Amino acid sequence: MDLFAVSVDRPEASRRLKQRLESRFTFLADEQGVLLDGLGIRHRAGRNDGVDISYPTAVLVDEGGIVRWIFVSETYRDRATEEDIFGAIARLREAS
Amino acid sequence: MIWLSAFLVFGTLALVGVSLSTDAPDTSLGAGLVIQGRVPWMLLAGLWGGVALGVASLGRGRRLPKLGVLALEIAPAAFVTWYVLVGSALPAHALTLEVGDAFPAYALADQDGVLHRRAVGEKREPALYIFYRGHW
Repeated sequence: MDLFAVSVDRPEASRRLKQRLESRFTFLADEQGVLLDGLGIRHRAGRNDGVDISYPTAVLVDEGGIVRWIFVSETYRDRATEEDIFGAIARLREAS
Repeated sequence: MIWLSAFLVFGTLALVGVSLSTDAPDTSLGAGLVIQGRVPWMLLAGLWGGVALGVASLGRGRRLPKLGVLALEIAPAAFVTWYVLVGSALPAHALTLEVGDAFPAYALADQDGVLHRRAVGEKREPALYIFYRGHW
């Protein structure tokens, strides 16, 4: 399973974050919001300084590149939970 | 009883403070539990349970100081309730990707500047993409 964390942050900022979190994720820099528009999750002026950012979103993609599960936050507090994510991965494994 | 009421309300708020001020809320005395969930029922129960105790305490003794404590409790309880139910709502998103769709193509640099590409329908390992609001 490939793990990607995507934001509009520059690679340098993501490198520091990855180190601090000791994360196994690959941090992708979508500075232009190509994927944000591809998914329809661009939050215009969502950051305090007016920059567009993404809605908190989680997407599980199968080996054929097909979306099998997707979660988008409706509130600032809301995130996909561990149970949501691991449940989706388990269902994908059962199906394949 | 008014002290128990104040302990419940301000103790709950303190746990939220501990939760929000640590990177890993679940490790901080379990304080994260208080604000977990799409609607954090434990948080709302702590706040309004405390307020209810305060109201119940009005039946006996001097009322004025108790009303003061109650006012101090109701203000944050009302704000937190408003925030979790209404004030934290994001504007409506325009999600166009659905289950069963192909994930869009991309070519993006990773944290080390290495380019990662994906073509539509390309066969490879299953992948989890977490889109987050960024680090600032």
